[in-house]
Amino acid sequence: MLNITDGKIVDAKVVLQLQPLIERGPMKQVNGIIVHQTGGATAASALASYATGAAGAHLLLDRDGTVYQTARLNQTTWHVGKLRPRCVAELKCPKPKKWDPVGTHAVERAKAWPDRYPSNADAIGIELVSKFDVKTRQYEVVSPQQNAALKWLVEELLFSLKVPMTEVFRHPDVSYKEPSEAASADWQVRTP
Amino acid sequence: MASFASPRFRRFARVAAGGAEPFRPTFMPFARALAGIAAALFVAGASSAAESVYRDVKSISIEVQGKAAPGTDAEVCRPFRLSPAFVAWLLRNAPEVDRRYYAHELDYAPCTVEGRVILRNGLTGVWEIEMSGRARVAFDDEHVLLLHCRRCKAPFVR
Repeated sequence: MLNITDGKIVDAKVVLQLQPLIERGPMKQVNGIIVHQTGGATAASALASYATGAAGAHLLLDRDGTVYQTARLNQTTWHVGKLRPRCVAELKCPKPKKWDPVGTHAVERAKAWPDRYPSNADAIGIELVSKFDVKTRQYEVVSPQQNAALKWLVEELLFSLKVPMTEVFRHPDVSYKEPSEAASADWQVRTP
Repeated sequence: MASFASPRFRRFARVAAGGAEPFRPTFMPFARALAGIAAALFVAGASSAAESVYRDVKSISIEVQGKAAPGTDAEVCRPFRLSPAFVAWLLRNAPEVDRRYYAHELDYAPCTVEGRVILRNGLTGVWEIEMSGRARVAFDDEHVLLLHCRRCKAPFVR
């Protein structure tokens, strides 16, 4: 179980690199985890972007598996974007006949979790440092060290924050994002 | 609407007839300075865009309208159709974005219009424009241009 003090993870495996400008206000309840890829080659480029107050996530995993905490876990950050309709993915409602991200997001955000996906208001974001190939529109494959760190982090966060295993998602599953993002991220707990 | 007897109309009539403008608001020098700065910025922006050989579009052709990505209902994408003139305008003028912003910040849409482009220097390439306003041009010299038409209206959808 993680030692979390004032939203900060106190653990030898986690390097604190808090970026105050990406924190957007208190997060009272954590209902999910969203896994992202940065689209940049280095952790430094992501941290530089965070330092400007751009969108950012709570945790950043470098290619070598180093875990940086960039925002406190009791603070919201802007990392999700417009929500997709969860009821469609769960076959509880029909596919929309129109492509309408703004309208769909307005409907979704009015719902209570778990009728909607975890959002900026109640989700922790984990970013994996990875380049994006503009020719193939594919993200770089997640490194084995990143996947090992991701698996450890997800397990610890789920247990420490009492979040169900089913509430961990790849970014494009919950929002209108590049389909290849986090496709090679693997946090699954394998049972013998 | 101003009536013919109103002071506003009388002032307009005087100026239109060649008379002296009797009223000069004190904010005018400031407004002129602002307009000058805006014009300079516009010209600078326009010239920097024009300087890029990759924006010097000679002609474009459209190969597919309203294309739906695999798994997407074709009906959803059918309304997304663009004219050749608009595509050429977009490829010349839409702001360029970096790959991180394109991949990670901008929205993806499963509906595209696609085609080919020829630049004035003879270089050719293929382009795709998404219904979300993202656009990508891959030239035959390996250069890839990433664009975002933030203010494009329908048939674009945010």
